[in-house]
Amino acid sequence: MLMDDYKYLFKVVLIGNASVGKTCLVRRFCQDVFPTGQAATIGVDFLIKTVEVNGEKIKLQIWDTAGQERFRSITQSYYRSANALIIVFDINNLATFSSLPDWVREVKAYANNDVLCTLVGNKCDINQREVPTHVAEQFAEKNDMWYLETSAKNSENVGKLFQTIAEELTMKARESTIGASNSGHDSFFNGDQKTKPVKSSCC
Amino acid sequence: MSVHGQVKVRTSAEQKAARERERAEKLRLYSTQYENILNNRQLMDSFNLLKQTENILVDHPDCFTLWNIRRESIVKLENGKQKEYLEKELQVTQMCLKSNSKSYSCWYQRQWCLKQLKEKFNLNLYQNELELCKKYLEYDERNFHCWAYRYYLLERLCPSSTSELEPFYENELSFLRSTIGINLSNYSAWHYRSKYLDKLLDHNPSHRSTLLSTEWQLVLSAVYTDCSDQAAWFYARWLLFKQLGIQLISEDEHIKPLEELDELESGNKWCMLALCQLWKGKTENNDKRINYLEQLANRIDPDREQFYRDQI
Amino acid sequence: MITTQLRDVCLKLSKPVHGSTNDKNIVQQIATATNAKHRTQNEYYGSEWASFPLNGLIEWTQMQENPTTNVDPQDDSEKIMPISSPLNIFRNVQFKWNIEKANEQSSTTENETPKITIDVLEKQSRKFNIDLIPKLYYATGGLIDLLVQSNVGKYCEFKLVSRLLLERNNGQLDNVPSSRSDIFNSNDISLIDKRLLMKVIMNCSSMAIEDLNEDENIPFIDYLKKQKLNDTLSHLIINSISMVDYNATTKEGVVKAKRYLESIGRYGNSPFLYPMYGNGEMSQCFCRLCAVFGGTYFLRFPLAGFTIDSSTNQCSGIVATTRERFRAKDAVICNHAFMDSISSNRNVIHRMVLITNQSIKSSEKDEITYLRLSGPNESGIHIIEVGHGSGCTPDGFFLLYIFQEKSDENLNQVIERLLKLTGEQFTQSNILGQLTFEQVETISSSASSSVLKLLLTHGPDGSINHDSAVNTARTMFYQIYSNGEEFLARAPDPEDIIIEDDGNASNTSTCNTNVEDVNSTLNTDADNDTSNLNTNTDQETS
Repeated sequence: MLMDDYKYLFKVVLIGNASVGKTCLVRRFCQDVFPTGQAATIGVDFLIKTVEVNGEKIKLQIWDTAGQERFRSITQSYYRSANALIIVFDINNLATFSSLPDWVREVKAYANNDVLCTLVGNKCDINQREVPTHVAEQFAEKNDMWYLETSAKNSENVGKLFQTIAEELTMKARESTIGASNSGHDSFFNGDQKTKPVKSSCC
Repeated sequence: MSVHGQVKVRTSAEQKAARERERAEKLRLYSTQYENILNNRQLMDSFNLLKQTENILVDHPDCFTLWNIRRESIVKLENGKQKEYLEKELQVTQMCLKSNSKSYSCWYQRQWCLKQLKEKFNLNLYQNELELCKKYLEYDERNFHCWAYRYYLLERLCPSSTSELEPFYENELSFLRSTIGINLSNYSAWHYRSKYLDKLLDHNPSHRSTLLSTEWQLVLSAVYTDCSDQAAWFYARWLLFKQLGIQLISEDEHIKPLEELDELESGNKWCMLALCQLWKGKTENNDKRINYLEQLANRIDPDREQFYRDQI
Repeated sequence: MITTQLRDVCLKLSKPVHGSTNDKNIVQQIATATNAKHRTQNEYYGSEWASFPLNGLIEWTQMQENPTTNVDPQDDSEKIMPISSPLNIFRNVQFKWNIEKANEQSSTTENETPKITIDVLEKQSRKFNIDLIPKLYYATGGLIDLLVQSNVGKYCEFKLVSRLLLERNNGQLDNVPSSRSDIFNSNDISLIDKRLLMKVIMNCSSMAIEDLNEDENIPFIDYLKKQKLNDTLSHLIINSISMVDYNATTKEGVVKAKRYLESIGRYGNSPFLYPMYGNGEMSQCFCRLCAVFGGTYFLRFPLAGFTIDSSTNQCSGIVATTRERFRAKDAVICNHAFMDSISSNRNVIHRMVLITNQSIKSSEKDEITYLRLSGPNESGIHIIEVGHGSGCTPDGFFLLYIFQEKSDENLNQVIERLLKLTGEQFTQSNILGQLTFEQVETISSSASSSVLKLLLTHGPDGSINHDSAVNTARTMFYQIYSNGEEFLARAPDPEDIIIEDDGNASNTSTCNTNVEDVNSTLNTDADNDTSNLNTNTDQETS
């Protein structure tokens, strides 16, 4: 059986209003597709993509909301053990930006204190902007987040988004011991790590 | 939310096919690389050979020829580089052991590395190796490669001064005791225990009888807990006949508990055989002894009939 | 597939939303608004089975009752069955702190360790995950098998219940010796007793129940005496391995002993697992699976009642306090608790949660501990202790859950009894906070209401595990779907799902490296049947 030789595995979680393009971002990055139908979200639990950071293989396990954001019904366990969070809004839809404070509140309530947060303004290919870039940047800065505008449709900045997250997390991991390191076998029981790797469940 | 056949799930046949394709491709790559190495090994420089062989060995660690090539390559390196690469080699074997923790070639290679590094003897290195062994034994306590390697290491680590010997042996006995404590069927653990107990007894003849008494209590605990476990019985026989000797076998301490066990568990071949051996020469038990041997020969363990008959 | 059940309900509704409560997560609980009735803002999954951070728990204890809103039927074809207040499930809820709110002195001297105050704990509220209904999971059978089989296990992590304790004659807490290695290593069991105990244990494991013959119905305690076990060892088996009452039959004792013994070794030297972050995770895991495959979740839903078709007496859906109606095609599932008013003469299970700063038995490492107290004239009392390692408390703190197996006397004496056993290691001063409450037991209620297509689930029972919930869910599933569909078939992995309308559906081979998870036992059955999902998908084009 093949033993993956990745150095770290990180859990990355997307949140944000319905229809801002979260699933499309994930699928664009992991599978290089842009699904056009409504069926985009069905069956998308998490996808894994390996990237390279300084010659080392880093696995990103990217989780989608499974539609639970539609009635603000995302489970607490979704946030659990996330190493990085991506909050997505649609730059052409002001309402999705206005909801951001609610999302930030949830993040503060349920996610780890040191989770890496990124604000993403998606759908920048459409030219009906309702949220000026500088406004979003201000919000991001106020909330200690990095801001990036993307388009899942034409791939703009999608790679950059995840690559940067991978780099940041790798750097953090080197300094402490977050994330699942692949040095040796992961036991059934997770040790006392601050953020847990996903699912080495069951004893 | 219509999903007009747009979501499709790969059937198990398709999953299988996808896996097969992946495997076939990997195999093709390896074969090409392998051929390349064999054909060009004389021409390729050491560094290149090491890199290429590593790629294949990580997934196929039992390729003896490739390890051979690696040894040749390392030896060819100049002295300064050798040490560095030997230490790197340990890491390479560790990665390969992840693919197959019982790979003969890997363990052999590790041992070879340590041997090569002998001039630059490093206590830490050996301690690290011991830790590694411990880990591997935790995953699979029966990995005999690992056991053998562990004892190679212990031999190298054995202190030369007499005063340090006793704690050294006791330390190992304590490790073995906890291994047996986890699984008393661990034949290797009992086996090495006998070796180290032997060493300790030789080193410390004044404590001989106490040590043997305590050891016997351990054995009794094992055979009473699981009277059908042969590892414990083999050890019991060794303890009684090879260590204690017939002269020192006591009726109360040794024979009686086994007789009591026999009453609880009639028909247990190990217990019966042990008793027959203990009763040898005791006229009062002679009839019973013969009776037992016959039962063993005819009914209980007929595969070894002749063995029992020979004892009568 | 359970998830299709909900998807059908949701897709065949005129609007893609519905709220219904039911027995826990397994039947895909849609955590709801009905809970809003007893909280001004109920936003959690799991209803009675939820876990809370510390502040959340305290809020829960102060739950307010909201008046029910009456909704009238819109015409003669419809009747409305209003829900009743679920406040009655939990009664006599009391929370008491034994420590002060804040440090009186502004500074402490060099030598004094700062006192633990309520403020200190509340600051770490998020690190607590306190179960209302704690449960343990046998490593074989029941919920664990379901999690493995359905692959829902990938959403959760478990830890072994590392320490199983019993109450010894000498008034101390000791480890339960149940495996060969425990017995071998024990210094407290004589040689002969070791053999006798092993014999009984091995027999219980290996024999078929039929082999018991006439012994089947004799009291288990007598059977054990027949095997020459002394009092101590008989009690060990009855209390801590079979975990049955003293008047249980041999058959009951052996069946449960088998379960325990079979579960040892699967994941480690203990038969039980405990979920990281508490039992509330379970609801969320099952809900996630459903959501991934199209289920809709609506917390804080303002449910008023059920709509019933007058002529057929079938439940046709639900109605919100806003008068919005939602129709259900297949079924509406709801917790018993919302159906009748819970009368006062129902059984109650007394429960307690203690927040402590010391373990009941010291240890070098993080432990999850289970202790079952019982005796010849009493039914069992379960005690579970979890600490930092389980993700349920901040470092240095513990949760001690105490609850009865059967509903009879209250738990007043339990704390004294426990303190006697723990001696100086753990005293009254280590109990920082204490929650006590009564949980009404609805488990004996039948699953069918008087209304067709309205299925009722029951609440938690006093047993240590989830078996009854799993069985109920399974039964209910087959009631709704009698077409041969498999209950909770394994969900396909993400990389095996292809969306066909994509231009270049190039699935880069992403592998789910869940190599270290509970599905390790499932990796060998690679050929899981995913065709279920296909057929249902096709059927939905209505």
